[in-house]
Amino acid sequence: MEQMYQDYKDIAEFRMVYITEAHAIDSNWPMGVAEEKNIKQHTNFGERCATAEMLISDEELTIPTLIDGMDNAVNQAYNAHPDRVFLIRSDGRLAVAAERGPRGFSPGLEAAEAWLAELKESGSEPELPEAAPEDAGDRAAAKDRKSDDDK
Amino acid sequence: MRRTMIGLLALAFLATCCVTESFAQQKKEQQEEAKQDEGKQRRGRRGRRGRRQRPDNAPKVGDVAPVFTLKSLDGESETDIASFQDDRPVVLFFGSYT
Repeated sequence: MEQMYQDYKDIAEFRMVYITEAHAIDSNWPMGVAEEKNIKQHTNFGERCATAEMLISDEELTIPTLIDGMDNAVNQAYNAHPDRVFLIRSDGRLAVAAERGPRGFSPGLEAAEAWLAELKESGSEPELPEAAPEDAGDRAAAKDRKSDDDK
Repeated sequence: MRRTMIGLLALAFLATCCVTESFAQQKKEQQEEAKQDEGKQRRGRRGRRGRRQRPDNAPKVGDVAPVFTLKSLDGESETDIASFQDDRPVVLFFGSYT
């Protein structure tokens, strides 16, 4: 994450969006790091900022960080919990929208990195895929229905 | 003659008994089958519920990224993506320490 930021910060903007804890010690599914660092779920914005600062300091991150509000509105808008990677093209459309959670985070990083590498090499943003396969399927089905109607 | 009548009556009685018994047996089997089917359906529903994840309503590739207003750690408000995007792509990492 930090390495990608260092490698591509000259051609893209990066933001870490700090959201609600995934495995705080007072959650149903606490994890070792939460116990080690005594991380509880944030009850106010100040606590959320403090935990984010702890992460930034411990991991020596320099990525600019934004803090989700206590209404978790941005987390919800992107359905990001527990973690997730997105890449937005300069036209505002999403070029990478990874799966959420540990299953999706690494593939998301790889997809974003591949996209940025292509941009760096070619000087222009990779095209969006024409249409998702299910959309193509829907269109084909609609066409079949239409030709049935014509008969 | 009377003996024949008694014999016939006994036969008729036995036949009735057999038919009633087989009906009862059939009904019992049907009930058991129905119960098993119901059990299967219930297990099926439970199974599906067990595997079901939170619905994923996240924006997808090609969608316009949702705009947001968030504060940065240094307290400066960054109104939305457009305010810092500056005609460049934006990578967003969502997550927490844990």
